[in-house]
Amino acid sequence: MKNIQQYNISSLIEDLKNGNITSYEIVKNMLEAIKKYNQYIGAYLFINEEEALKCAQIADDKRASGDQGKLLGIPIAIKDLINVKGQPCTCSSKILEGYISPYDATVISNLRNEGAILLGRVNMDEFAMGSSTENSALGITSNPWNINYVPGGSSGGSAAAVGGHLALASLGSDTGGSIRQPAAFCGCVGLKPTYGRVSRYGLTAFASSLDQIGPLSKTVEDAALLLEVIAGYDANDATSKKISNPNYSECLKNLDFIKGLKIGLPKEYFIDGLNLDVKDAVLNAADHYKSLGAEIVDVSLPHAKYAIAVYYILATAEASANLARFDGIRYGLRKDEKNLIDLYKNTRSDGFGDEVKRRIILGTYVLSSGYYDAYYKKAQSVRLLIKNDFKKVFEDCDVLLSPVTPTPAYIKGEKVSNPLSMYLDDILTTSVNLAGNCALSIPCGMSSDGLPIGLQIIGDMFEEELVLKVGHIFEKTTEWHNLKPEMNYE
Amino acid sequence: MSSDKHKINIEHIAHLASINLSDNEKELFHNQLNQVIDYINQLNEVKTEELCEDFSNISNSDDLALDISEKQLNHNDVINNSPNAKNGEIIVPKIIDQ
Repeated sequence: MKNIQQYNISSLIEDLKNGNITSYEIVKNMLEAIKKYNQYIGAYLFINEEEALKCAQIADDKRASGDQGKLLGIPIAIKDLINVKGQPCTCSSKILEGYISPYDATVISNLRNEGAILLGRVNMDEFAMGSSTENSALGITSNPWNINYVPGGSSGGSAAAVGGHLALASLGSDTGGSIRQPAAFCGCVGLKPTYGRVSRYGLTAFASSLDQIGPLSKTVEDAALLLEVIAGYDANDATSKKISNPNYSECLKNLDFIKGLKIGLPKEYFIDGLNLDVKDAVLNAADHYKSLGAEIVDVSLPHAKYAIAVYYILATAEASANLARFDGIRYGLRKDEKNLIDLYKNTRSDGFGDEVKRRIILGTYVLSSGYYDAYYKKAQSVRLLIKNDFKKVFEDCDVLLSPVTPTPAYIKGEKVSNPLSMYLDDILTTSVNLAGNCALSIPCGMSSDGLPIGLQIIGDMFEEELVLKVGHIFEKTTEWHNLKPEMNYE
Repeated sequence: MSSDKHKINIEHIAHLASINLSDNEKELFHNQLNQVIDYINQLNEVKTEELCEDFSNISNSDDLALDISEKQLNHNDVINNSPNAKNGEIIVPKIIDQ
């Protein structure tokens, strides 16, 4: 039997079909690896050991009787803000301690329908607010490539689990870069689908006009398969689009598309202060695509520099409304008081961490009387300009390439005392959320410190098929995605 | 408290947000909020007066749900999540005086 580090979803499906391994064996091995390494990496908050082994056995029986589920017997980790019936859903926050989900998110129903095994719940920044997973109230997650470094965030647990080979894939969420950035930091693939492609029903909301669930995986092929399973219109999500979903896995087979493909490099994304290793890796990737037959052109997204300002007005405004429901009444923590107002205030003060409080306060401020027009309405207008920049640029090119992050992963603690410095790290990812487009992060290099570097491939609205093909051809012709962390932590 | 360039009433904002802040938190968040507002004020550079007011990142949905009650969540599963519940009802402090 191969080492679990050597498996991705596609290769495991092959070996399962050929009888070289069983789901029970792979889940058992994965649980042993988690027992050995999770104490160092801290990716998992909850592991469903008994349930996972039971489901694995059922999957093996189903396979024997001819069941063809696309993810039959494949273990997947779930970011701890996606509701799974009967499981905790803490959003890595004290305020949701004790909460047990009474329902499955739509993406979870989709995974179950295709036979996936829900291995456990992984760590994140509290309520998805953060870029390092250091804002979790439930524990520390480390980068599997060097445990002194952050895994990124907010889907840091997802990325660390996949990058550290403690999960074959994970579902995360991306509001301002929270799938793509940790995927880049941990050397795995991360996809933010177009807004409306994947149902948000059952995703604990941070910013409802920006959030999307997406896969983190070891290969683009795996991401394509996961998107096939989780994408689709859902009547339970009014923002979900009635749009067809191609067979993404099948689409990857054609590699001839690359000749003449027009790839744009947005000049505003090659910012002052961009780490030189990151810049070199991304420009080398562009040269590589050129050698495959693509045409590389310089393009401009003139309002890119305003993305952070717009994002931190709109996302925090939406968050201040979405998090009003956490008040100690219907679920989670309650600080009992003689009157209702004090109950609300003390519950929320005790239950939320600093970053969540900071963002709620900022969001409340920009929506408050006298400031709504100056901040919220202004930000919405600039958002429209950012969206139009993308529309315009995609009239002349097919996809965009850029770095995912200005630097590789950084040392834990480096940015916790300077929130604005951490916010500025999102400069290369937030525009995509504001515009609603899709984007993929894939490994494209290593820094001089031995940390992974990610390449961002941005597509037009609902062009996941092309974005995945562009990512896949890079994987077929390079080796970056095959590099593995040494994991000598003792 | 340090410079209040933007004259932010942090206590009022915290009250609107239903959050209590300690004195240290008030000072810290007040300073940090001023820094963030300094940064986001760069949006004033952008001319937006001529834009039409269609801000939605979400196309307006024509697909409204029918007004028909569908399958509900299990009542016990929902109520049991409350920190204080009895006989299928959630218990809260009294809000109306006699």
